[in-house]
Amino acid sequence: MVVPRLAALFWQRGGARQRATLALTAAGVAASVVLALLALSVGPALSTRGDHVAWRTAVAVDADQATAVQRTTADRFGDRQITRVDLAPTGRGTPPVPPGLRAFPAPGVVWLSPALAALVAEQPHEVLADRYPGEVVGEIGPIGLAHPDDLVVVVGRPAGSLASSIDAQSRYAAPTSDGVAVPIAGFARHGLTSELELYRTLARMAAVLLVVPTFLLVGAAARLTAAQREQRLAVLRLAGATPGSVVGLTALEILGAALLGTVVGLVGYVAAVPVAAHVPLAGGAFAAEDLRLGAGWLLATLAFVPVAAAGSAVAALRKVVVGPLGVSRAVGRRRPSLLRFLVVPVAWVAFVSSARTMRDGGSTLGALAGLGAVIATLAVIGPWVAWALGATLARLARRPATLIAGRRIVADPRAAYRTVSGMVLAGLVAGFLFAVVPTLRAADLGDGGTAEVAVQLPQDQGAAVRAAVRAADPGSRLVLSDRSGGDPALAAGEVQGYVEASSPAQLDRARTAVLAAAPGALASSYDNGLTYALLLDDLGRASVVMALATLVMASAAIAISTSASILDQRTTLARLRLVGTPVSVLQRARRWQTLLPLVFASSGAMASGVVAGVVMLLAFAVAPERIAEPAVGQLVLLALAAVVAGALVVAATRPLLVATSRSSPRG
Amino acid sequence: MSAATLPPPPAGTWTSAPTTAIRRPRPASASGPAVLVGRDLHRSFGATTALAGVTLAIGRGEAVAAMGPSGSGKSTLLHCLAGIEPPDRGEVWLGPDRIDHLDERRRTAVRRRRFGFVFQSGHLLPELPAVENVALPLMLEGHPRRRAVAEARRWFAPLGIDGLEHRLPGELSGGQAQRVTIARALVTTPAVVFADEPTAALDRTTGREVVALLVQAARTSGAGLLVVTHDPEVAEACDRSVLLRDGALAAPAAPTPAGRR
Repeated sequence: MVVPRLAALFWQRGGARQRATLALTAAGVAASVVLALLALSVGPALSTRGDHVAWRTAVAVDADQATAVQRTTADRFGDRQITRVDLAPTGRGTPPVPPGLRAFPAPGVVWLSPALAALVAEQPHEVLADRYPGEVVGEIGPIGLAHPDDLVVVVGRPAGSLASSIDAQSRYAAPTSDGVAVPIAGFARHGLTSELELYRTLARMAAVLLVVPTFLLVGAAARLTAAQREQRLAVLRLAGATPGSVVGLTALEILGAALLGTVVGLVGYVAAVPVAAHVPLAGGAFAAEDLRLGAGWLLATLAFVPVAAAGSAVAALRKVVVGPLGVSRAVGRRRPSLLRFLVVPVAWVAFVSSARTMRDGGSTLGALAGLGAVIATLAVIGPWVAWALGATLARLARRPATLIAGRRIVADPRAAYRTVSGMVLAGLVAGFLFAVVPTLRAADLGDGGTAEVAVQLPQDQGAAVRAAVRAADPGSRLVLSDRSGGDPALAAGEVQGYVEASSPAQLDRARTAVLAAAPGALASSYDNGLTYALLLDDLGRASVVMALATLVMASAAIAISTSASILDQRTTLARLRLVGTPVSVLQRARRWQTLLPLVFASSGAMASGVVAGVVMLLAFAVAPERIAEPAVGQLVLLALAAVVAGALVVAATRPLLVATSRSSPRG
Repeated sequence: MSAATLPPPPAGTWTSAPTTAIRRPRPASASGPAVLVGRDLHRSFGATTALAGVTLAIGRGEAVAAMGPSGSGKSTLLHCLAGIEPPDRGEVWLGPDRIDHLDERRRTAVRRRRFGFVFQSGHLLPELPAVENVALPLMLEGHPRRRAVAEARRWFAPLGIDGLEHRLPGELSGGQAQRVTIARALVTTPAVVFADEPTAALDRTTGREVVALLVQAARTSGAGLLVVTHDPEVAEACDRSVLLRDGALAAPAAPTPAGRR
């Protein structure tokens, strides 16, 4: 009962300053919770999206059990992808109802997604609507759509009209390939396309990379409160409080503040989801309910975050707990051991081997764990790097500011590293992204803007289609192979070819002309380039969001850590001011103390990120010679931004330094 | 002080000097010209009057003890004379220069260049070895580090802390830390050294040794010394004492007229 009573007493008598610090802790925790939960939401939301689109990938059954034939084709309008699903009954049994539709589409009817309906309505019919001959009977519901902007059309075809390729399909290697008619008996309700799977892997990696700095921020916020309490708790120890009650008192105070922060964060998260859902990813925005994490996640957050914050604060107070004189006795120099470097090869070997396993079809979680291990090495070797930098600075220093900064880093290299660890992580993230993205951009994965579309149509309709194409646009032409049959993907009497046009806009007309003239024809334009362009756009956007988020969080963590260290040293700072040390010298020392580890550790982390990115690319089977040079210019800019942010944050804490060092010189 | 000029080295070893041997009470007039003069100093904190017209002069090489009960204004007097906080009214003269009306930046420079400070505790940078703590004021004045450290090192033997140059403050005893502080206060050969309860955190024997060292070191380097203390033994070690009560001198000391404008 002693601990709660003491906690209540201190809360009551603590005054505005104590409440302000606790409020700051709560605010730090709340911001971290919002960001971490948003980062964690994306993976499950992509899974849900995968479930929504799973039905479009046909699940092949034996031809004699099939109730329908499905042919999914990647269509295109301008630079937007349209998914076209043709469905025909086999005449046996009851065909399945596609998700989002009220009934199996009867022959001659068309279902459009709302976004495609709007697009069709605003374009001349010969440009788009004529591709879908038939009566539009309804709109596809959200359950069958990836997102509200999803362009999907379901075309009902007469029984037997798609049967021509069933036999061909059974001989064809990839039953779910684009444009192949597949006998089906139902629709998949769960699944993930390869694109969404890639997105989900990247989202999980992003979540790992974002969650770590948020917890660093929580830890820093908790330590700030601890710094303010250290002196008071040391006095309590002198007055006879047991280590247990000191720990209990701190834990209780931080637990309260962190619990409040977590609740505020959860409310903030729920409020932020509808806004965050508007950020497009993989072609469209999310539905808010898909992005919202389940109650289990929220409860786990509520249980875990306050405990983690309290643990961090208790760890910060261990000096006080060790002995009543803990705070007045400066600890000796503890040089981190070089043995720490042993973890580096271990982690990299784990990462490379797990990445190799992923390439060979193993779990992505293993590779993510390997990446996590590489990140963790930074925390292990970071203090040694900080110590080495501090020792070098102290040895070379000619001015008081650099001497003080160097000695301070050497005195507590762990704290020096902890201050900038958020930035280090941001460096790693940036290095990773800026190593991967240039290679993806350089990769020749599709025809991009080439104005061409592959067609497959009954040979006897060739002449009519050729005429229709020329009529739609004199600059376009249909080129057909002169051989019919032979190709296992072709049904009897079918012929393959392509349409050439002078521009993408003309190609849209030509494509429409093909499908209007031969409704049974296949005009496929599955375009790797288009998909990857979308992925690259998303990666670019995500890189900016992540870089900004980690930069902001890391800056906040630096602000909180430097504030805590000012409060820690308030007596010494006041004395130094008093004996005539200019604030500028103290401020310069703080700048060196923060920026030196920041610059070196962040650069090292960027380099690690670049190497990790290259390893990942190799794991995704990119040939070494095709790996592009990392975007060094952008990395340098980002490093400069980090240094500027660090300098600004240190500058922003100057008023606290001035106010603290001006405090009463008594004692 | 220019970067090229270093203070004269301390002479002899003072640690063995017994406390009684250094108590040489002298009349104020024997202390030579006043190096620091506070005239008619007033200072209030809200409704509380801390100083109510105190006048005090400290001569070159003179050690003055300011005594009085808690709340009598001793520390406030020290702060006003040392330029830590300006008086509400009155004047502070350092030799021919008036310093009470200077802005904070200039007062900081005066404190750094002309004054030395010894406090009860919390005065050394915990991360810096002892010798660098002593060298810091010289480095702040622009002396090269190597020279500043060499000069600082010369103060360790006379103060009886030889061999502790590379210890961190946390590795020193209270008495050793106070000796390091004395070295730091004197390394710039200040005009005046201010000591606020310098022995309060020390045991009696160590306290007597430290104050003896302080008085002798200040006298040897020609600095005036103002010691704020509760301890009559400390006051006895000084040349004279003044007693404050309710912000005024109960036994006013005669100001030294010389050196004033």
